[in-house]
This record gives sequence, C-alpha cells and structure tokens, in this order.
Amino acid sequence: MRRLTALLGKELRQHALSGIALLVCLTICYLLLLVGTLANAETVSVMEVHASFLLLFVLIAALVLGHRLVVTEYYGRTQLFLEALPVRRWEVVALKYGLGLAVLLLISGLSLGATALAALTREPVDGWFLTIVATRTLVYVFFLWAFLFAMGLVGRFRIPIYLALLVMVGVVDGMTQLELQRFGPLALVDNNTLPFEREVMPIRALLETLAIGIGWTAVAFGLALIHEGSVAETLAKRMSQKEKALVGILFVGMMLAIVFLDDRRDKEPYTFPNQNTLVSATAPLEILYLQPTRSADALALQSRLEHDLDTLRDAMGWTDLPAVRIAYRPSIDATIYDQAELTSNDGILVRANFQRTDDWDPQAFSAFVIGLTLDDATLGRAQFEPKAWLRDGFAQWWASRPRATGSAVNIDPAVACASDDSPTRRTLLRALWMTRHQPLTSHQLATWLRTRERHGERVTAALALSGLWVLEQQHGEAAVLALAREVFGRQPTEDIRELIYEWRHPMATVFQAANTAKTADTTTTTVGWEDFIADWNTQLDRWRSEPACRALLDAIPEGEAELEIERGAGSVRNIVYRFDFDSPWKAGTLVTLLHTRLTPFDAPLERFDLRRREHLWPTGESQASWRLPGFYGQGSRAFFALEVESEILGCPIRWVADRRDIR
Amino acid sequence: MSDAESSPLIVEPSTPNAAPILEIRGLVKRYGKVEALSGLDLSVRRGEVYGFLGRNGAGKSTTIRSIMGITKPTTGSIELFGQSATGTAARQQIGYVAQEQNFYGWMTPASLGRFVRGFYPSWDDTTYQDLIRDLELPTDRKVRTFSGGMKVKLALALALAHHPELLVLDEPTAGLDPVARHEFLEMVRDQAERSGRTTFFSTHLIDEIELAAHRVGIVDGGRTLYEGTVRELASRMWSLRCRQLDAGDGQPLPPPLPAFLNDPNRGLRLLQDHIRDGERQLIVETADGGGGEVKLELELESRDDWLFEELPLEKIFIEMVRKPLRQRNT
Repeated sequence: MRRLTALLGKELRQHALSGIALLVCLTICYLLLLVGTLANAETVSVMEVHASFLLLFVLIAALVLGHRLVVTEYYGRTQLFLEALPVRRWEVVALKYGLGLAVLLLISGLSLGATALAALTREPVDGWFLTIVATRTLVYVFFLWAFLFAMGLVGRFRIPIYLALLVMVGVVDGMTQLELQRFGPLALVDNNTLPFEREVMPIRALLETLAIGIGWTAVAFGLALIHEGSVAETLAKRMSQKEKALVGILFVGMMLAIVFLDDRRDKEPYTFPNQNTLVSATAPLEILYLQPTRSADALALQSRLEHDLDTLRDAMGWTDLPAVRIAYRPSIDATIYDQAELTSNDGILVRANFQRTDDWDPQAFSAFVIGLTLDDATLGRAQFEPKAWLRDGFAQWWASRPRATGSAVNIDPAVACASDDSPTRRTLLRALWMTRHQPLTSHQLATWLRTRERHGERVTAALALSGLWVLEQQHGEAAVLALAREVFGRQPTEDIRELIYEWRHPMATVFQAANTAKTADTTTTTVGWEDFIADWNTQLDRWRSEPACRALLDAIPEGEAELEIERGAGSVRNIVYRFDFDSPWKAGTLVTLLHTRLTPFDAPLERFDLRRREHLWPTGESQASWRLPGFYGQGSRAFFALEVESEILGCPIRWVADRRDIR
Repeated sequence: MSDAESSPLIVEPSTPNAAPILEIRGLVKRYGKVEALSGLDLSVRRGEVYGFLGRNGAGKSTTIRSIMGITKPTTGSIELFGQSATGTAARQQIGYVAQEQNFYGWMTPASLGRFVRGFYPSWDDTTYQDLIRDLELPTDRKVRTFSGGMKVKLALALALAHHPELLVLDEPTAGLDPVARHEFLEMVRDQAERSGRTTFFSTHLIDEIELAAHRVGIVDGGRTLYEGTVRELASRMWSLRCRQLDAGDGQPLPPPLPAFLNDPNRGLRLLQDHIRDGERQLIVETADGGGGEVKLELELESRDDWLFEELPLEKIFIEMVRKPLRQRNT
C-alpha cells in the first residue's frame, strides 16, 4: 500500500500543473457549450450538452491523460527506473490505468451533474433517466480510456493508428450503409439518442462497448506486461526513417485506394419508405408524397417528370438515367427547391412543395430536375462555367418545348406579351429585361456562374433559354439537340483528361462541331459562335421592339439600389440598403435582402442556403431604405443581394449582388 | 568441447565459512530462440565484494535483472538471503544501481528521495542526506541538469539510503570518464569496507575487478567460466617463452616443448603455442593455481632456456573467454 501511495503521489506531483490546466480548459469549454446550447432557440434538450461534452472534450481529456500518464513515461524510459524499484510491473500499470479512469470519470460525472442541474429548469429529469445517462457515461468512459491507454502503449505507432482509424471511420461512414452512430460507444454518446432515450436502457450498445473496452484493456495490459514490458519499451522508441517512410507510403497508398474504390463503387440510390411513395415504371424516379392527400399531385408530377426524363435519356444517347428522388416538403415555399446533398448514395434528391397551387410551376421544377440530371450524367461537367449557360438554357428548353406535338418553337412576342401570363411571356420578358441596356456578350456567357449570381437564377435561365429559341428558330430543333449532345452526350472521364478536353474544346469549337455534325444529315448552313451571339442579340432587340413587350418592360420601375456597411458598436457592422427608382413600385411589393457569411474560398451559392430578410414596398414611395443591424462583424466576408419582386416578370429582379469584405 | 574446457573451475572462496547471500543455480533465460543465459551458477557470500566479469552480451545484465526480479528466468533458481527470490520483500533488502540512469528529470535529489522512500521500509533520511552531501550532489537542482557521473552518484545514494544487505551494481561505470570511474569504484570499495556490506557488481573491465573485488565470477555465453578469488585467478595461467634455435642452415628452429607439458596427469592445459618475435610463446593453464609446480618442473628438466612469467589478469580473462586453441585452429 505504501509503495502504491508513493507511486500515486509521484503521478499527482508530475501531472499536477497540466492537470489543473486541463481542468480549467475543460471547465471553460463546458460553460461555453452550456451557454451556447441554452441560448440556442433550436435546442430540444439541455442534456445534449453532456453528449457533446463526452464526445469531444472527454475525448480530448483522455488523449491528454494518455499522453501524460503513459507516453511520457515510456518515451522518457523512466518506466525502467520504476521497474528497478521493489514494485511489481502490473501494479505500476494498474495504478496509471486506474488513475486515468478515475480522473475521466470525475470529469464526466461533473459534466453530468452540472448538465442535469441545468436541465432541471427546462425539462423533466427523473432518477431513472439519470441512471441511464450515468451508465452510458460510465461505460463509454471505460471504453475510451481503455482504448487510449492501449494506444499510449503502442508508442510511436499510435499517431498512424489514430489517422488510419479516422480514415476507416470516414470510409465506413461514407462508403457503406453502416450507420456507426448506431453501434457501441458512438451509440452511447449520440446527440440524437442520449438526451431522448429516457425509458429504456440501451443494453446492446452498453454490452458492445463494455466488451470492446475489456478487449482494449486486455491489449493494454498485454502490451505493458508481456516479455517483461519489453514490447511497450520497444514500441516507445522513436520512429526510424525507414518506418516513417513506410508509414507515409502506406497512408498515401490507403488514401489513393479509397479514392479509387470510392470512384468506382456503385452506390445505392436513396431509398424512400414504401408507404406514400410513387415508383415510376419507366424511369428511375420515385416520389414521396408523405400524405395520402398529396397523391394526386405526386401522380401529376410523376407523369411530367417521367416523360421529360425518358425523352432526355433517348435524346442524349445515355444508357441510363441517375436515380431521381423527389420528397414532398410542405414547409418550404413552392418556388424554392431544396437539393439534398447525398454523400453515401447515388442520384438526386430534391425536396419541394409540389402541391398544385398558383405558386407551383411544374415546368420550372422539371427544368430544375433536368438541370440536376445533366449535372449528374456529366459528373458535374455541365456546371463547367464556360458552358454552364447551355446547361441552364437547355434544362429550361427541354422542360418548355412543345410536349405533345414535338413541333418547333415559334416565338411571337406580340402574342406572348398579350397573353395574361404564360411561361413563354415570362421567359421572353426576363431575357429582354436583362439585356435592355447592354447587349449580351460572349464574356457574360463564358463567366456564366458570375452572371447568374449577379442577375439571379430565373432571369439568367430565361436569357439562356432565349438563346436556344434563337438557335431553334434559325436552324431547327436538331441544331439545339446537336449542341446539347455535343456537350452532355459525351461519356466523361474522371481524371485530368476531362480538363484537357475542356481546354481543347471551348464553346466556339463545340458550337462549330455541333453544327458540323448536324449538317452531315441535313443541308443547314453552319454558323460560327460569335455570329450566333450577334444573331441572338439581334433577335432580342427585335422582340424588344414589339410594342406589347416594350409597354410591359417600361412599366417596370427603373432605378438603382445600393448597399452600405455602417459602423456599429465596437466591431459590429450594420448593413444599410437603399433603393431609388424613377417611379414607385406597387404597394406591398416584396423586397428581399439575401445574405450569407462567406468562407475564405469562393464557391457558387445556392438560393436555398441564403438568409432572407423581407420587406414590403411602402405605398407611393419611389425610394426606400432598410437596415440590417448587428448581424455581421468587422473582418468577416459576406454575400449580399437585393431583389424586388416583379409581377410582370413573375420573378424577383436582382439590383445588387456583391461579395464584400466587411471592414 | 571436452568437459575440461566447458566446465567452470570453481576455486574455494576467500571467506569459505561465510553463508551465501545470493545463490544462483542453473539459471536459463531465453528470449524467443535466443538463449541469454545457459545454466549460469554463482554464489555470493556475505560481506564480500563480488566482481561479475564478462564481455558485452555475455549475460551479465540479464543475470542482474533476474536477481532484481525485473526479468523472470526461464528455468533455474535464485536464492536471496537464504530464500527464493520472489516478491518484493527480498528486493527491499537490495540496493540497485542500474547500468542506465533513467531518473525523472523534473525531480531533484530531495524529491527523488521522498519518492523512493515509499518503497523501502528501512529508508533512512539522515543517511540519504549524508550521502548526498558526501557525494557533493546539489539537493535542489533538477536531475535533468546532472552529468552522467552525478547521476551515478545519485543512484548510489538512493541504493544505499535504506541500508541494504546487498548492493547490486550493473556496470555502473559505463559511460563515465576514467577519473569519475576510478572515484566511483573507490567509493564502492570504501563503503563495502566500512559497512561490511555485500556488493555485487558487473563489469567488462578487468582493472575494476582488480581495484574493488574480493572474488570474481567470469561469465561467457550465459555460463559461468570461473568463480573464485582474484588472487587465485591470477595464478591460473602462466606464460612460458623460449628463443628459437638456429638449425645451422640459417633457418630458425622452434625449441622443443618441455616434456612435463605433454604429461596428461599433471593437470596442465596448453592454451596457446605460437612463434612471435623470434620466440616460441606458450600459455599454460593450471587447474589449481600451481605455478610453482611448473617452475619446479622446468628446473628439474634443466630447461633454463624457458622464461617463466605470470600473466596479467586482462590476458587471463581474454584467454578464458575466447575460443580454446583447438577450436580456433579448426
């Protein structure tokens, strides 16, 4: 007993400072986590704090303890000094193991106690629930410490093992259907279950974790004791150059293998539950309508999409289509479509409110889905900026072309503008509006993603569609299809060859090639890319000169909008935005500030990800201004767009779009 | 190998009546396929300074680690203080200075003493402080700033502060400069003389044995080759030299061996026989230190052309641990 006391005293003296520093850091982190959770309006249960603390901060604490108690001892070879003292080797190892476990349990216990106290004021917390959480905590901490203690004894190979484990977890999570958070230790501290499983003890997860923990404990003691501790002693030596090179090669090889396998594996499409789901017989299309009352809407949508997708596949010469999944989501606006990011599944998943109301536009939605289909079928190449205008235009064109007769488009601006409201009128007016001051340039087309951000998706999509109308009117439907096939029908590669191809095939070359291919079986005269743009502008001007169109365009107030960053208290910055028009907008017109914080690297922004701040235009006013107070701070970077909803265009007009450094 | 070559030639101890404080019999230790100890025997008597001599890799450290309980022998027995050396109780009566000093660098001699005290019921703070003072070690300086010599002195102070019955030193002077080495050995010898404490130390340097040990055990290949007093060891081997003769044709002629060397009943063994620097040089081993007998026989055969000399201990050690003549020739 006396020698164990001496050993314990040594450990406490050796690690006192770092232990205190760790406890202070953990306390600060815990308090920040607690305050953040309490302040978050979306917090469901305060007990989430404990789950997060166990998953992140107790893990960090265990890593630090493992390093201090085990790694430092063996790296310093001071375990040889202890071995020379009249104490058994297993006693030394057991004392370190017990001490680390006790400290971690103390930290976790404090977290549980404090969280439970904080939770008592907001939610019911009974004894049985606390017993469940305490048991989860105890078993999880036991597993965590057993694993990290064993890793400490693995010495110089522990960091490569950590990295390999991280990669493996990533691979299992990303490449398989296995949900790791449902098993063993991760299930015990899952934020989605720990605060909410209040009645049933998670016996299976507890037993799994306990078994793994016992296994790691056996490994740890085995490493420390077999061959008189020489295994742990040998492993603690610094890595040789050969070993470093080998580990590096293995790691790089593993990463390459994962990338290779991930690229080549067939992922399963996203699956909906069978109930309330429509499954297409001809296309890989499924629609989840959630409520039986929406089944008719789903059927209508299925009929439309089935036709558009099947014909698209045939027209592009694709052997198959990506799996398309549409989920009904009543909570979102009918004009907004939310594309879900699928990491473990192939295909496309879109959430939309497809109830057939006045706001629901099946053609616009079909165009959205076709655009995503083009992206998927070309492995994202359709979004390549110099050709992205064609992707936007062709998606609209395919969804809008006469479906029943298959006849070519015939745009009569007088008829279109005279109609009350039609997709053709809307498209025409949007395209004319965008080019009312300046003709379209090849640069705007080549930098399409920026053009799209500047003018908004709907206006630019209309402009792109107008280009294909011009091409169709002048050279026939075959010309449009030939151009689309040239860009989207080719089987893309997944490596650098694709970049070389795009470099060697700019839009002008592709356009020329498409026309040549088309003229092989027809007698149409070929046309150059720049000539086509000139024809496009000429046609837009011609349409614009139509009195009915001009009258409508003139009815839209002209003016400008500006956005100013105003100093607030300290580093807080307010955003002031002003509009100044030559005539008032209709009272109640929707004005929107779209904004979002930007990452250091520029990437296209999805409308669904932007924050919205909406206002109604004041009655009789031609000027208006609003203020966004205190949302951004000095040093941040943000995107801002100012839009006013135009009844005539049937979509918002974007007056300002800017990525700004907030100073 | 014949029995005469492989078996240790045990010589009576210098203090034959003293009880053995450490008795090792047939100690075998295998690390996988490697046999570090191959049936080692030795016996250390109370009060003596025992030098454990062997080349690098002979098995000295494995033997000491087995004595200290750090390593568990594969087979064989170790008796400490008349009892089987298992458990920590026996180890509490041993003071140990390891070959490599792996102290906690953040500790000072004072805090190290407070830590080690917990492992020895017989720890004596006053003795420790006296030792630290006598060894001229700073009490409150961190050990990481100590030189190699200071660390060995500190290890010695820690090993002696609990008044151990047996002091075990595993090549304690390895890595020390000649002056520090000499000083350390003098300290070991002085403390042994003053306290009468049994001291067991390993080394591969014969001069350390000459300086400090009463008795010596020579180990090689995991077996004891010799165990006895230093004086007896010195009388085990002798050198015989004789100038070469002139054959008359200008060619030198090796002088004939004295006849008694060919007599198998004499208990003599010819270890070396070679021509060097115009002389025939022999090394002869006597089973019982009978150098006088060799000298007498030379006189009886009137072979005054042969020069008879004692071999230095280092030469004897080398002759003992290197392969016998017949093995080398083959």
